Amino acid sequence: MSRYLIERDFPDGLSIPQDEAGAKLCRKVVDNNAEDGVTWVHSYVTPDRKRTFCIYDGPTPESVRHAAARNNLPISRITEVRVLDPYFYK
Amino acid sequence: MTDTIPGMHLLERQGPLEILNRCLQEARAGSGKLVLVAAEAGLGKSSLVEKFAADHRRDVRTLWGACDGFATPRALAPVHEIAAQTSVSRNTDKPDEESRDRLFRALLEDLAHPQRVTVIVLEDLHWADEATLDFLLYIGRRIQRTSAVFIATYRDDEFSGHHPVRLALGELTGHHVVRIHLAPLSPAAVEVLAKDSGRDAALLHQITGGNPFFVREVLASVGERVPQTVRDAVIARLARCSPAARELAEFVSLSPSKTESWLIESLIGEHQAALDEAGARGVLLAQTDWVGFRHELARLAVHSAIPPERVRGMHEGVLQALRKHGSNLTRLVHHATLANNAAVILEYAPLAAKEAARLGAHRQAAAHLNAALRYRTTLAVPLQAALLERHAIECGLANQTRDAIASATAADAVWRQLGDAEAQSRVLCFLSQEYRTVGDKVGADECVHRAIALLEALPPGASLAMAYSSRSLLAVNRGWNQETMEFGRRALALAREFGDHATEAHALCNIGSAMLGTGDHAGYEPLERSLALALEHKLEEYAARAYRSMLFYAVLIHDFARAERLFREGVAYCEERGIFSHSAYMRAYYLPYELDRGNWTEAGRMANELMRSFEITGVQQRITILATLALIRLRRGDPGADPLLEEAFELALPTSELNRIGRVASACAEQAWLRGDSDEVAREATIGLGYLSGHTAPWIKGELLFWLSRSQVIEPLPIDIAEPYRLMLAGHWQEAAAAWEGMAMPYEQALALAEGPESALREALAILDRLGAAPLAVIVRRRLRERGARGVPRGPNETTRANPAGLTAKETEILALLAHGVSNAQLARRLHRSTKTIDHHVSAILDKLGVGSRTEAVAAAFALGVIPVGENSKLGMSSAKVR
Repeated sequence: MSRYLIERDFPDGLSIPQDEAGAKLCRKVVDNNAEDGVTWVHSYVTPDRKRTFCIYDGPTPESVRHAAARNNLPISRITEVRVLDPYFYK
Repeated sequence: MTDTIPGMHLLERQGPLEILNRCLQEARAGSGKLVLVAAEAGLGKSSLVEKFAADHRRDVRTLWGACDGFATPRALAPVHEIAAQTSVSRNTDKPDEESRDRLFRALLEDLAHPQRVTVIVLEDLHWADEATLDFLLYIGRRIQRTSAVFIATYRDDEFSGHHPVRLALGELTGHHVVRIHLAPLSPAAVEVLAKDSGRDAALLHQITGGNPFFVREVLASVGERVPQTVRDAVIARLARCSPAARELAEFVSLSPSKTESWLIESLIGEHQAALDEAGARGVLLAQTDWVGFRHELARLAVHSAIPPERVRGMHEGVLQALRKHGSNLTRLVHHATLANNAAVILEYAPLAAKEAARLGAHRQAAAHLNAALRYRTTLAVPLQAALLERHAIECGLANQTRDAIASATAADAVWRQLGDAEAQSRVLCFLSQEYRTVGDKVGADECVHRAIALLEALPPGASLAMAYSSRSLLAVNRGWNQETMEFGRRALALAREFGDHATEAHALCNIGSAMLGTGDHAGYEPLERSLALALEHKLEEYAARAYRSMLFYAVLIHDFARAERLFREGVAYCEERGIFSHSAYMRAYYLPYELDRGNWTEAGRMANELMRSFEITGVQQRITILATLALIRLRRGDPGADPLLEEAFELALPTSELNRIGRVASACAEQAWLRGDSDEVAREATIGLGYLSGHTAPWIKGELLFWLSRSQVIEPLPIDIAEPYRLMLAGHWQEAAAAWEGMAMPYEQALALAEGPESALREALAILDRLGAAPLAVIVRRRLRERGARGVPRGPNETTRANPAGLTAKETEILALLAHGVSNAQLARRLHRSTKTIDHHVSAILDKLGVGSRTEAVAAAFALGVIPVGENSKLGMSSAKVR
């Protein structure tokens, strides 16, 4: 199980409605991910909504790509990462 | 076996029951399901399945089978148990692989009966023998076409990652495979159970962990002290019985699953009163002809409490009673082993092994022979050697390679002691193959050389033919073509002289492989002959080998049409005959083909699946899988390529097999080039070339020299390399690109185009964006900007991205036409392209949609909204017609 940072580009700007439809969409994404053994941890979005940086846990890069394809989400780059938290150091 | 009271409400199992009901519904509609129910022991898998069956008993036929808990399970017993409940005839006079396959097919046909819904239950899969696992895989891959639900239960805490049952379960994928995992009871549920008992429910949940069986055992116990383990609880219950009942329980605990009434009679005589008591106290379960425990955990607990000095004698008693009455071999061996009865084990274990082997349960056969080996010193020396050899062979077939090597080495020593050169060389040839499987080149060589030396001292015979052929096999993978041909020819001549078809096929295979490896297409002829010979004489292993070798080389020299055909035929051949390990090898060899064609998603999926299967076998196959997956990752710019290449290199070096070493070195060089590390490129390429020097390997050499040329000038230009690489090295990028396009290898085509001017670079970029090859695309974009090109797209084609499946505009257009049944030829005419280009587009469409046929593609496209339903405007057809 590795942690990945996924960069996505949305030329038209990503839009997820803030209502039940949006919530349903997110749930569907989570369910689809689960079928590939992939977990969406959370995401960062630029103010113009054209780029996102998503943190994912998954077994392989291929599983991450497969889940993304299932969810119709683009991938620009995948990088393996570890968490570094300033508060880990005393 | 449980004591579920009919009508009793199962706590917290509503979810799983609903899943089972849904599966049944879909099965009624003709879409059968395979359900895998996993849980720790005692969580109530049996209760769940029994409740489900009871709920539907009115209109559903249910068949029951259970894997037994003998030390070595009896091959195919559960399947026979199931078959006996149907009208399928079982010809048991000649139990072998052919009759076994017929049985599988007959059972499948029985399930496919459209009017009648069947539920099959196979319990305790964690004890399954190999033949039963083959049955599970056979049915599991075909159940979706029947109106049946196949439920298999197993304990998922019983085995580690490499256990054959886990590997088999890992191979079952698809929408028709449903996995249910039972959870322990919640504190609330335990409270319900403990309601009137006066016990502290919270404490009870803490001790039992929510295990229903454990909970019931504790609730049935009396007294202040709460048993801390299941074993304690069961033994406490037993302690409250009379001595007679206890004795009865102990005897019943000797046999896994159940003990027949006649057996109990002969062991302890009249026992009705004791049985009544034991039943009343909930210790034993009594049926008409047999007695058993309510749960395996209880049986094990009671058995473990019998003092060691008594338990041996008790098993001996059971053994003698079974012998007198007549019983199956597995059972006899089970008790003989626990009774430590050497004579009986030595008599029956080899027979049990033979029976298991005939049904393809090689792991079990090996286990039986292993039991016998413990007492081998009491045998005459030649019999010891024979036993060791048989064990080695079965271990080899069961993929327990290290055990095979150990036993074969011991057998060799004994045969040498006896001075039997023929037998020795036979074992040595076998050993050589096993060493090759674990990648030990030195060991493999030594064995073959010794075998040949021994046999050359004797008058020539078929054994010498095989020894020569073994040597040619070791040579061919190292690219020692002269040696392969010399010894291959010698082997062929001798094999023909002595009418040994198997060795003839073996030798032809090696000769053909050697020729193909040098790029001589005439090598297909001996290989085709090898295949024909093997098929004619029904030599399944040799036919599979011929398919595998041909496939390996067809992929190596990029002969895709042939590779596709061989893959289809070869895999079908193997799966029909249940030799799944060979079809798995072929899938591994096919991976580079998928990589070359640009089907990276499919290749990645297959590679990850295969990685799990090859942890314990096939170093050669593992290297191919690792290298291909690494290339997919590094070409996409994904993480995780480096560790794969490291492992592949480590595995490849000791084998001296240059095709594989070369491939890995080339991948390392490519990775270095994409990272811009020129020195590393030169280093890796030079290492690879070092291994190839003096050998003829046009494709691998071409690839390595190409990478080297990115780092340094190569003079003079080499000629003994494959044409497209020769063109690249000579600077003729345009012809090289055309050659790669003609071979349908888009990535290499893009590499060639990347050496050209702006127009070529743009073409390369289009290809790379379609493939998702980010690192090379970055390089190409940089070159475009350096040339001052304008309007360089920043990322993959925007039209592509807006489209959910990532189809380009052209692909969407083609797909829409496909939806109206237009053929490829018509498409070609209509769009003014060659049929070859259309074929490529259709392949790409299938790959992106993740489907295998045009019909599926169209369906997927509608589902994804790529083609709106009723869309027809692009075709210029009148809307009236379509409506």
